[in-house]
Amino acid sequence: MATDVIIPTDMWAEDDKTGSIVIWLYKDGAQVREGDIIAEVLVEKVTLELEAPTSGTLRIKVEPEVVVNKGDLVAVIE
Amino acid sequence: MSDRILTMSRAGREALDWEMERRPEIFCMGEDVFKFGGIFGTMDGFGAKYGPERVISTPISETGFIGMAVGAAMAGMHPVVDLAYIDFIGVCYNVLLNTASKTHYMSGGAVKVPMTLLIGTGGGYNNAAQHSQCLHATVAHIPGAKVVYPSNAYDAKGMLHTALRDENFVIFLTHKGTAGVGWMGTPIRTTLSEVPIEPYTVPFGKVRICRAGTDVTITGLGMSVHEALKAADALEKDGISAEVVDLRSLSPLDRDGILESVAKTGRLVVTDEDYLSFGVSGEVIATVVERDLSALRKPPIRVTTPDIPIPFSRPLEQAILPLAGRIAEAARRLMA
Repeated sequence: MATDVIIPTDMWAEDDKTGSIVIWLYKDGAQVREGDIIAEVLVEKVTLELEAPTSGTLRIKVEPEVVVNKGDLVAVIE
Repeated sequence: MSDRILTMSRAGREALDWEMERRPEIFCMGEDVFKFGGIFGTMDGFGAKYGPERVISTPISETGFIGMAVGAAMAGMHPVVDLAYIDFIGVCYNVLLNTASKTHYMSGGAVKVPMTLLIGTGGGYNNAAQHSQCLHATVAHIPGAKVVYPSNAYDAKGMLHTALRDENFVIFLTHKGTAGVGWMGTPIRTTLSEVPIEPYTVPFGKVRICRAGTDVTITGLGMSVHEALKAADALEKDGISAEVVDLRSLSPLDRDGILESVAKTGRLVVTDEDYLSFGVSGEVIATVVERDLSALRKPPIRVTTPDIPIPFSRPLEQAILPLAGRIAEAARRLMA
């Protein structure tokens, strides 16, 4: 069963701001554990951390430098 | 080895966090460190975790807060101070030059100054002549100070653990473009490393061979390591095998390690984003020439920033920086 990795709606305060993934901290296909920080997300000059919602194999769907909004699916964990 | 990849910024933060959790004498100071975690994110989240007594945001007065830090170090604390950009070092230079780096000696060993000074260096992002300088020679020239300069995440974590356990004053330099902070753009691939979660130390005073080669040695530090690696890729296509040597530490400097590589290749390109004259690039060449002139088949070439104020204009700045194209061209000249 796959779990979606979503940009949380409370990751930053303002709804009209967008972010982008700076770096995935694990390679596509790597094993991650629930709670691991798996990506850094930049909003303006602030770097935020995205946690793995579950344990499993990371499948990256959105590459760095692409604009992301709150609620966007950026990866799945299988 | 963990398969977790970190930026230099996050790797350094992990080392500092680990040491702060266990050692109450360590505290942080600098501009915007409490809420923002410092401009390079080394103390990101520390305000909330450790509170305002251990993570102290200061006014914009390097003269004041670096002086305070040196006093605290003499009194038994281990301050970790974020000086942001090395361009601002002028106003606090006296306390670095005459107090932090000399007190251990002048007191006959009675008073130690265990202090870690974090400083960002370098240009390449159009921040003009007063916010783009490297100036690492200016601090490497101070007897009594250790000066280290990691260029990738693995070394950043290991060398910061080493700095925090050192009893002496350590200047810990990071080129802004290598730190991997989001506001500087996508991190450079060769700055990223698989970083163990457990603490480890990387000793000062040892070069790192980033890429082995047989025809020409290219030495670099900070950002110029990554430009040298790009140049080595280009040279490989021309059939030239370049060895890239990361100096990593300026004081102490691994002079044997430099000579060992040059003795193997017989050719030397020295890259350095600091100004050309009176700097690290000349020191590297002097090291080789003094130890074994016969190691060199050709006169060495320096590829550095020229002795001029760094231009704001992007085309002009790109033209004067020691980028991969200039480094590869120098290596080709040595092979001709």
